[in-house]
Amino acid sequence: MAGIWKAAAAAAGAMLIASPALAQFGAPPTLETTWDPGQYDSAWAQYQARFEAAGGESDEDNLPDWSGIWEQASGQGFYFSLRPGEQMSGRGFATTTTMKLTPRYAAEHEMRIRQGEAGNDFDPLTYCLPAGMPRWLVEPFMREFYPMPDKTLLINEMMNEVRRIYTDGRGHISEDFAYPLWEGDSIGFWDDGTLVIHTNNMKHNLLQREQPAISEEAELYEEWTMLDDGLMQVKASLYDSEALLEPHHFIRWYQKVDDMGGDLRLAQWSCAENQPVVRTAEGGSDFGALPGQDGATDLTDPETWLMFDEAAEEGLIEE
Amino acid sequence: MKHVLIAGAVLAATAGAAAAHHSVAMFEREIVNEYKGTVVEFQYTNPHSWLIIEVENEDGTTTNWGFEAEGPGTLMRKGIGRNTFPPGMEVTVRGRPHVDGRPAAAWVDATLPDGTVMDP
Repeated sequence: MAGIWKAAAAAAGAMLIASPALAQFGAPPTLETTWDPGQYDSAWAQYQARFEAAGGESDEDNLPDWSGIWEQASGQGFYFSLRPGEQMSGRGFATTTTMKLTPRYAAEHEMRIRQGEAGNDFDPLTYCLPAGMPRWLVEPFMREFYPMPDKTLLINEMMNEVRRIYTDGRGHISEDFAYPLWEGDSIGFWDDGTLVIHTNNMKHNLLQREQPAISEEAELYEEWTMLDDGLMQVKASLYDSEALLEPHHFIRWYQKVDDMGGDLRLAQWSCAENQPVVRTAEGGSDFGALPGQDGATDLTDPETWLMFDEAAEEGLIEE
Repeated sequence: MKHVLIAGAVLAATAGAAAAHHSVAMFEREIVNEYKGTVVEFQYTNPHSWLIIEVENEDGTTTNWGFEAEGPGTLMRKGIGRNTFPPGMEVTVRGRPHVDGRPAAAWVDATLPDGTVMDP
């Protein structure tokens, strides 16, 4: 926990990567946080224009090597709307936004900030649900990226969230069968080592605890490019006809980390195992039974469901 | 051996809570207390590790205090392994306490018997 707090403190510095993890991969670049792709009516239009510019086909012959363990490049914060050098903005955490919200979504955002100020801070993650897309892009913890000829898997250890990007030429799920998904439905193509992605069918969800929400109309355009060994640039454009008055263009960065000689690996998150957080009557977050206290079921102890002790008591084994 | 909570030890704390896995609204943002005690259990797992220590109160009774940190993927890189805090070890732990006084805190750091400070 404290590590994340300290990460936030680090975000107060300039938007320059200065971590030892990246230092081994070259000079720290300046991290840009926004970009201008031009004017498009939708993320799909932006994607189609990029596809045509790439010759109308996916270049699967020269897939990049994105092996290793990745995490958020330091200095960005875990929010969409922080400006360079900001750790917190607005009335706490990162409550201001550079997004141009519709009145309805601005009101929802304001309401959630007020609740947070009252100590009532809650979100899907606190319920052990996924962050979902596009929040996945700004969350902490370790990641792995697997480019393959027909699809690419983008994995965050947190909540075991796996994005599947199909590059085999298929389209999106047909309207007859489409439904809102935590990670949305993603298709893409390769162009000279850059993975271009279009995502739709995302859930009506939050962008972060103190950040705006998106509607089921949201769609996302992304360009994933490894600029240097150890630094991944993700240019993205979020469109949402219900939530946004105009598209929100942003850039996220990931950096490779030292895998400790192979000891450091992504591991399963079984969220119910050790997160005793419940929602309070006021709508906030609190612990239910505290670990180490009477009445707390220790789900980290396999003896909770194994029966060696009982077998020994019955004389089935000698202990 | 039991130890006493250093009551009222409010230390400097300037960093605000940021995006942890779950909301951190239940923890004090600007108070860090220090606790001395004996390790009862170290739950080293995703999504959150918990260090449980027994702390002696002023009236001689004891309370189990729990300190929450991130999972092994974060702790490993700070040099903290599953056996870093064996049961019975005497430790001094700093944490941001629960706002309602229950015996839990967001774990800031821990000092081992040899003086090594482990920073989760």
